[in-house]
Amino acid sequence: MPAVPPISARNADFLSGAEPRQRPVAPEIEQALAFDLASIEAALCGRFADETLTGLADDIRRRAMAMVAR
Amino acid sequence: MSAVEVIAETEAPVGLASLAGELGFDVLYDAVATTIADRFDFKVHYDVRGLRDAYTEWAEDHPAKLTGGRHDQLVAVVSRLIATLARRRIVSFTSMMSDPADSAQVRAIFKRYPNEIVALMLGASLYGRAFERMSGRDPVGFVPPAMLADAAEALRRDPAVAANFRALLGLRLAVN
Repeated sequence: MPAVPPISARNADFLSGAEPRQRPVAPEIEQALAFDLASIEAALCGRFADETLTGLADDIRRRAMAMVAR
Repeated sequence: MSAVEVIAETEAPVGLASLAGELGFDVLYDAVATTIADRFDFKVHYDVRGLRDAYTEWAEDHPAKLTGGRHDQLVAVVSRLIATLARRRIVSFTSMMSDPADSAQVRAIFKRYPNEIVALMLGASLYGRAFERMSGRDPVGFVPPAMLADAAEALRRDPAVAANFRALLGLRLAVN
């Protein structure tokens, strides 16, 4: 497995060697989860609001930290 | 109002939409992997191609039919995400120094099952965040190392057990 530096929110594009792909979201998924329309629009256009994504990532990190063994 | 009624009337979870974009997918994966690495002073290594493949499968292979209530649908989506991530070699951890004797066994679990554990913890975190938003209660708590090892081993043997991620991780089932 090739070792590469950790991916961060800012250098994921660089590490992957390509612009992030944005794929359409299937209607089934959109309906099933009733995605927040603003978030979907931002996702599809590749225009994440930094504070939203950062906040989500921080929340995921906090939860993961709470789960992980000490 | 019961939790089920709350779920039925509450807007769907914000955050899962971020997984629709490759950048968001990477960021959330990285959040869990680096959390583990920070906790144990690990160095984290990524196989970017594996992460790309996982995103492609995730983005293209939407479940055609999701049945049941919104909570059931959420469980199905998270389960599929876990299974998609766990069956690929995306991440590994190495120690930057000798593991302390008192935590060597726990560290060994994380190094033995890096892909399975990151997948489980990412899925559980997303589930917990969404569930809390819908029900006002957080089902995610501390996961004992032995439970995590058992869950990871089961997931390695059969990715389909991702469907049982709540039971595998002992998440509090606040629905009933």
